[in-house]
Amino acid sequence: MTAPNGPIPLIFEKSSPGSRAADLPPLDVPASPLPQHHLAPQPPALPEVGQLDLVRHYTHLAARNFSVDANFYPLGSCTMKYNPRVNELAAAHPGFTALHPAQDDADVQGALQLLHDLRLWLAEIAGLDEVCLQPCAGAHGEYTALKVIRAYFNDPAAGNAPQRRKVLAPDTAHGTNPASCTMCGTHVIKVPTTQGLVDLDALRRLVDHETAALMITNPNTAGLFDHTVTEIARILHDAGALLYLDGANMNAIVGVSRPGDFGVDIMHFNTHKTFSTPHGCGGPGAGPIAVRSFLSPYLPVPQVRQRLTASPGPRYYLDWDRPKSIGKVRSFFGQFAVLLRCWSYIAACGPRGLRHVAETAVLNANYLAARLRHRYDTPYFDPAARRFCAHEFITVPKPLLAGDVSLTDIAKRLIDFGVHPPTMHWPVHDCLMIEPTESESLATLDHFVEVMLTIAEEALTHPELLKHAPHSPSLGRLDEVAAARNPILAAPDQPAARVQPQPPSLELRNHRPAPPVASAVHPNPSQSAPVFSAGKAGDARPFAGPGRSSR
Amino acid sequence: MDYVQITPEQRRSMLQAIGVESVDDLYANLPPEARLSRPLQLTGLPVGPSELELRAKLDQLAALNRPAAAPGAACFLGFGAYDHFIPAAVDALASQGAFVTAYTPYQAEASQGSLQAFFEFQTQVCRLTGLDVANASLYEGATAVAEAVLMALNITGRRRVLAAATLHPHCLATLRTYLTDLPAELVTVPACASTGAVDTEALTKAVADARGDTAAAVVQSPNVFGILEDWPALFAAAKSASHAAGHPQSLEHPGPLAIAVFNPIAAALFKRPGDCGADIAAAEGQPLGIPLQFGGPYLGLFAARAAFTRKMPGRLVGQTTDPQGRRGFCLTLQTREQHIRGAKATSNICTNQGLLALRATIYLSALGPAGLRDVATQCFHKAHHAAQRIAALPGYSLAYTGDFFHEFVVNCPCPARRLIDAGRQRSVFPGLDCSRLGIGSDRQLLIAVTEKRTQADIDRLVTLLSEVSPS
Repeated sequence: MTAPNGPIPLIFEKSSPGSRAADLPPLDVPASPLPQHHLAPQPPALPEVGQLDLVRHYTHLAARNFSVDANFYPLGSCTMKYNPRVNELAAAHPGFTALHPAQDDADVQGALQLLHDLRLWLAEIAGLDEVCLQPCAGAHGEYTALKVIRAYFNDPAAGNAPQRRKVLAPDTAHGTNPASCTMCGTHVIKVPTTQGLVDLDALRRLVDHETAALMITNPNTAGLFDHTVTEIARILHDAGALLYLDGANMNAIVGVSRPGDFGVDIMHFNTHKTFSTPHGCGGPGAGPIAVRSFLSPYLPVPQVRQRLTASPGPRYYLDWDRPKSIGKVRSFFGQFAVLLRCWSYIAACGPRGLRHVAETAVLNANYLAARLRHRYDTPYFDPAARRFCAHEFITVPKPLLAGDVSLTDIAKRLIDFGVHPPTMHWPVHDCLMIEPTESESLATLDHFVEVMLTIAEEALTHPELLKHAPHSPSLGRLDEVAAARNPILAAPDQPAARVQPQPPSLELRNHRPAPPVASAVHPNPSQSAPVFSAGKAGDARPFAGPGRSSR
Repeated sequence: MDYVQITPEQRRSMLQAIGVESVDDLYANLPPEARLSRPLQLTGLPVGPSELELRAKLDQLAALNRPAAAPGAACFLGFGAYDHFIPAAVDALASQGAFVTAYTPYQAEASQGSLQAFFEFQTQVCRLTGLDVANASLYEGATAVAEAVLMALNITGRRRVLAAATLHPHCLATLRTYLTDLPAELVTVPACASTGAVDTEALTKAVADARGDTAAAVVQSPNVFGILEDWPALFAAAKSASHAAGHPQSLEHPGPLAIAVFNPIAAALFKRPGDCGADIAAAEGQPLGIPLQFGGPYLGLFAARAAFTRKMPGRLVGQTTDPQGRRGFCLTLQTREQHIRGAKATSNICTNQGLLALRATIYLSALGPAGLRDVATQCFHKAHHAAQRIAALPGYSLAYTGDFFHEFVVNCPCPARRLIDAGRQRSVFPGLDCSRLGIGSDRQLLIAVTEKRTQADIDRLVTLLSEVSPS
């Protein structure tokens, strides 16, 4: 079953008055009078569709997505690794999904034990003392951690330095770092970087008695291990400030190096990056934070704890009695079903597996960098000079951009080949940040190299192929400028008329127009790679690229 | 199983291609003192790392739970997390790998499935709230309310936030955390002890006391006791009190803003935030096809008037066209966001709750207007039927007189704890101890009744309450 070519009508445009895809049993209790002054005259104008049309609609939409299940997805700094199926099974277990969050601790011992295990595992992986599992995402973990830092310095019995309201961050930091600082009422000061690394002299100049912390990412956002990190920690600690780690890039070092061992005081994890919880089109994630023991009194309530065997009451419990806590940062206690998947992944990998994962992530990135560097400049990667990348690398393809080919053109052309484009323009302008993750097979990596080399060739010989990419039968390149200039953010209230999907002409159905790819000039990249993606090759690829046009 | 596909032999050839001897060489930049020289010590792992062993361990852990919403159990627990019917199509469609394993739709042409679904979601949230613009979702209810308040502070430039004391306590606590360290002040407006609803006079007085510095009035309806608040009267009072104090609302001075915290199921039956004078609406979206799953992940719903679009937090999906004029969708107005604005962003949020927004979209499309209204109406009638029967039992009474939706507080003749414990043998979860929730006494039960509860379930609840002897 494939989706029709061309745009798919909105579910509202498929609405047919009186249709329904779900029903309820009849009311089996006597009706009570409704409070008339609160009543709405009519229900909201939701779509009315039958069940098959509903199923077909969202099946068609799914076919318009690139995903890890179907495509290589080397989106730098996002760690698009494989999301194991068993984790989904675990999260769908009725013994967990049917748990209400306000049930007695005695009723939820399995869930609490799982959270308790995870709390200890993440503390061990971080090399830190205590973990809070509650934050909803990485940015929320950052926010929570900054609140904890503020509370520590505001505590006269501990940090006792309320004037410490400056937070330093490298000029290459994730945008969330400064945004989180603003939400905590702290000032952000940028620390310059040179060659992708924190400028130590500048850091020494900037750190003072008003500095609360430095937020770093290590491996950093340029994809490099910052070998000066222990010196950075020393500079901070000597000045009485703390070192915060954005754990976005933990996939390179789990089991190899622990942030606590290189001087980090507080950090967040991204379970959806490092621990295989699915990205779900942009969430839900989870952003647990780990801290040194002197910061643990300030963590949000509640914390999951284990009772000593002699004490009365259930073995695991939620501890709400934390007088120095910053309070609550969300409802209830965390992204449980996400944390459950995280638990399942760590349990499956075990200590050896986790290290193997990190090493392979680094191996795969260096392999791609080594194979691409002759056509795609890699400013920080040079094996001859013993300069390697961590789990991701930056390429700045300047020579290819010399004509009127833009970075976007290269990215969009990748879509034609069934590859999700890498992260663009970050952390510097006109760069691609490539993160293959440990999940991919060698065949997929090699295929990607061939695609990238093909595109490099096309950029010089057939730039128009790039400029008009993607050449999808269903949709061309979208005008994002127009979308922002004249924002249309919802369907109109009254659809003017029912829009019928345009049935493709017989000719179109039988002969998908080949994209204007000079496949005679360039060998079909997919022919050299027998298996393209981790998923079922071919049938799950939403957009046909050159690999499918040769029918 | 670590899911790595590279074989040892391939590893060797790849190292060769890079020009190094071992993977260790690739970690050359890592200072020795930063290297872990021993294996990680993880306690409580399953016996082995195989899938069979892992699943056995998960079954073992799951068996230690007594899920309130399990088949055969009668679950009357609410407090912001409700056991609603979820059509099978929601699970089936939302668990497709193409949705589960995609990321934020930065590359529009490779993400039309997510983008169109979010556009449909935004449209549905607009229609549920009666407001003009909705984002593609936030983390969950309490943080969505906190973001609404931050937005109001930003828009008005004022400092005082008036929050109804009848907000969900987690919401109130989260709001308190978010406002600490900022130039803002949180004032709670008390509820009337008999109706259980916010007192209009108290709100008017609080606005007057703020002397033109009120950024927002936040009112949840149904509130934490299940009582329907009088949004139109409260919001009008807040605005006119500000006006009377010489601070009229205008485009240049749009304050105080009215923030409605709503229940998306109730929105199918009762007046919507936008119809009641709300400027911003925020909600916990869990009732829309999301399982209880021990409190998360849930879904933050967020909508506002069109004038405030560029001050909104979170992702927004917009409609556009390709060169042939065909409709498509992309993320838009990203200049509000952290990855472009940094410290000046409207929020630090970078993701939405994509998969859960998708679930809500499918749920709402499956139910449709009549189905959702049916869900809301059945919740209402079943809750009122249960409340009437319980109030007729000796020693029991309703704690508040206000109109309610599907949740209510009952005064009990014995500690609520005893009723909860007695329910354990019968798989009846009769409600929550209000003292434990911080919203009442230890002789009060907070009881929620959804459309899933049958008359027989309600009989079991009433029997339980009538049979447990008062102390």
